[in-house]
Amino acid sequence: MSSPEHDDALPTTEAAALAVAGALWAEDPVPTLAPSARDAFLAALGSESAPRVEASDGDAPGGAELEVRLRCTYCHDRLELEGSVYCGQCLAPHHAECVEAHGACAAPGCAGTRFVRAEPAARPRPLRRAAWVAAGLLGLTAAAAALVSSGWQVGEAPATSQGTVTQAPAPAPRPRPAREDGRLHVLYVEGSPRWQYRYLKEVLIAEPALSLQLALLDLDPDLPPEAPTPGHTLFDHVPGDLADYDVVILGDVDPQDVSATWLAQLRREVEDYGLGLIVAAGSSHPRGAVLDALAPLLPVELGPTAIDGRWSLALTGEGAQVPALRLRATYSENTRIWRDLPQIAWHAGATGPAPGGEVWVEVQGREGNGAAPVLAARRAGAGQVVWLGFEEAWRWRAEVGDEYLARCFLTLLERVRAPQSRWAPEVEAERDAERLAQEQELTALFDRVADALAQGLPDPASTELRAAEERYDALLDEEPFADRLGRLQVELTLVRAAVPWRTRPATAEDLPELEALAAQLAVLPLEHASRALVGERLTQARALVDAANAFQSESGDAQLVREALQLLHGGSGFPDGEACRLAREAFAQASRDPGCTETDRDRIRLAVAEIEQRHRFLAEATRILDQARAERYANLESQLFLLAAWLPEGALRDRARKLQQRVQAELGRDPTLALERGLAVLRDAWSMDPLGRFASDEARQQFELVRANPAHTQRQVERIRAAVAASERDARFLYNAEKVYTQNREDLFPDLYVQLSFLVDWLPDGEQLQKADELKTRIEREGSDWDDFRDRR
Amino acid sequence: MPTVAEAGTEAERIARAREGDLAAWGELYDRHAPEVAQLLSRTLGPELDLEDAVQEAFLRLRERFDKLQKPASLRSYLLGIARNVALDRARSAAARGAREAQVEARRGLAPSAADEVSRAERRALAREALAAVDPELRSVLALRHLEGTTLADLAATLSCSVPTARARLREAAAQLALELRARGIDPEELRHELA
Repeated sequence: MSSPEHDDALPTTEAAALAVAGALWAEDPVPTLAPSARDAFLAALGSESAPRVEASDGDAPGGAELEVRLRCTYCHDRLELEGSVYCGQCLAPHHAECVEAHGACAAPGCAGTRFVRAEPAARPRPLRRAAWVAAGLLGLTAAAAALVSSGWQVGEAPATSQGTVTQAPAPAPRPRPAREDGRLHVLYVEGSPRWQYRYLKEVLIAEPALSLQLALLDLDPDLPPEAPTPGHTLFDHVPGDLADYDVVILGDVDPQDVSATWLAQLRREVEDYGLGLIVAAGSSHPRGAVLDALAPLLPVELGPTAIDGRWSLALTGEGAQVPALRLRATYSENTRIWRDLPQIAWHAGATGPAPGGEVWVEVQGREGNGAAPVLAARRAGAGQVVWLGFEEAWRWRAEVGDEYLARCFLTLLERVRAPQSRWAPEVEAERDAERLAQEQELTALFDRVADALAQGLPDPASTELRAAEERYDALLDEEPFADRLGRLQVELTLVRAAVPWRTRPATAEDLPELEALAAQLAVLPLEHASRALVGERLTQARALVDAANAFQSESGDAQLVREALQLLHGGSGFPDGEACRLAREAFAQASRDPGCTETDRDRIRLAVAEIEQRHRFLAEATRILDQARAERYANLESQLFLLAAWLPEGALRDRARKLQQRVQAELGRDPTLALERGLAVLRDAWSMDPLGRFASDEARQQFELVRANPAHTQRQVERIRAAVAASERDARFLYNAEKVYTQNREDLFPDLYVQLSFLVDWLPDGEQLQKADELKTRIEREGSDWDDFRDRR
Repeated sequence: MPTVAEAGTEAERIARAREGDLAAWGELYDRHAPEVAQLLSRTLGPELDLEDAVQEAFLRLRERFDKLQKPASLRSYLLGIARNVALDRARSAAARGAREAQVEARRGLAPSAADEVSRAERRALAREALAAVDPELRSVLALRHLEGTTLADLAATLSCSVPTARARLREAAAQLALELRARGIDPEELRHELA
């Protein structure tokens, strides 16, 4: 047998460790496999070799059986349909518990935190078939009237499976309102301005993606008032309406300063509406009504008193997996950093995790009295709650400034934020772009059926109709989001209803139908109408308007028709600016409708939010361009690209395209902007590559390939960004390595040396490579000196 | 590891297996299962359901058999698959709380007392250190210690270049050294002791 430790030219310590592993394993008995294992394998192989085609009724030709097998993206175990969840961004399937363990989607390049859970069919599919047949038999006008007269729920009725959008893996929270400014709205309630407040506040204020409101309840009147910060409000009382916030940080508050009603409201907002809550305990008011009222939400059990002493923080196994607590890339380095953080002198005296609580950081009790959690989290209803049981996080600033404080708290805010308030038009746009092809097929099927309807009443049993219906059913089975079905049904309804208006002039008897139809055009399809009304559909809609115009001139009842026309114009003019207003009005109208279910309301809310997001995104993009905020170009270009590809013809699409061209032109003019754009991604790269070990291999290879190729595709540009991000992380590592070296901390050398060797292997030519090589040589020399010294001793 | 003379037979066996010959699969199993079992048990530890994991590795091999281009690389290919099976199981176990037990085990250590412990205790501590190494890195160590595995074989199994394979091996060894030191054990002393 070759001797790995000698063959691989490893440094002495590593070679010794390698030899130790080999020696320990050599002592183990050779694992033996029972003969039955071989037979079991061959039996499994035999059964797998049989052709599998699953027949819906179990009587497929030849008895063959089709089996679709899902595997969890995280653990790769088998996945049953029941209990599986799908990433809301990329649809990758996961076990619910794996999502809980990992905290995000495990698919490469996707870190989605919103998941969809498949639920059983609300209504059986045959109903929809029956509706089709009924539509055919009863005739076009009658069918349209029947569908229209039942209001806008008609479009939703045939849903056969439903997806609920959830923050993994809790039950679906009721969505919080979309923020108009696209920022995370944070309320920070504090008693007196303790040190933690002073530093944390500065970190939060410096973050442009936050809208921060401060409530300082126990201000000393003798102190000068705090200087106002633009965009961040300072209260001396707690604001009444918590619906305005995504996350509340509750500090060391005197129970007398907050009412029981407010605390009850806070609890309800967390449990029912997904408000994120960070409870940051403090030594002034460690016990009392505040914590008592929130006790059912807290992830820890509180002991009778707070405790003074001297403790080092220790990251737990769960804590090591939390991105917010990754102050360093590698596991061992991160654990050490946490251990080396300044000791704390007080903690709130939590005795252990509450049911459902997950302890992230703990301190060891005196004389082995067990560990006390000081940082923990749990889900409480629809919301997430984080417990911070010490108040000296501000001391992490030693030597590193706000780096640790900002990374930890800003990522924590991101984690606990109310899920539905996430402003991520790029995510929606990407998702939509991916599904567009499938949706186009669905739409095309309906076009064919609609054309058949327009030419005359088709035979319900005609081959074309049946084929279209079957294909439609099959596509829906593949699609986890069933809401599209409702939209398409509505679309079909509209086309059916529009047909008679194209072929004959309107009369007074048609007025109710016209009104209902107009309302539907503006209210229901919203997103889908944007595509549906392009091209031939737009012609149909305009024909409808013309017919209505003709009718208006003949009838005396101008008011009703005018309203109907306004709605129609709004619908056919979609997606111009008017659409947002119409959508909001429609939402208000639908909410008042007693027949409107909560699911329907949510669906409309989402549709309204989507429209508004695109408007807001474009406005924001224009602003960024005007201000030449190059660091934000990274996402901007790809988002504009997706928007331009996705949006239907219209003002928005033209604007997105022009902005995208402008971004490209500006990037082309100034090569440093491209680098700055990559640097903007770096802040996320740290958490995206938590282990930081091998992730940059591929990025670097791609980087080398793409760098030589002037014709970058969008995907390749993304790769470059990742490579730049990895390089920057390496630069940061080199900086720290030099610091470790100059401090002569020999105990850190082994790991450091390996990482430096790794860098020398992988870094592209340049200053960083040279620096890594120099450091590696110096450490090698010093390491051998150290060995000599130790030997002499 | 197959010799040159055996390579032809192996190629025939693979060709027969591709056509669904169960006997050929049985021969492949007999030939490679012990090594796969060794890699799995070293990467995952004694709690593993070894036979199940070996079977999963071979079933995965069958699923991906079309992607195997050179018969000579079957061993590396299969070991790569086995490593993935091991890592999937490690993740799966972590997701279901098994990691907590490991963490608890680590938490109870008293490194300062390591100087006084006996040889047997030092060995037990060393085994703990080995178990504490990240499974992904531990699998690299295990692969390198399989009979007849060269650095080039390791690179082929890990689907990377030889320098990268060396760097990974070095990182794995460094983490083990770190874990050993955390338990008050000097890797070099222990190496002499075990030798």
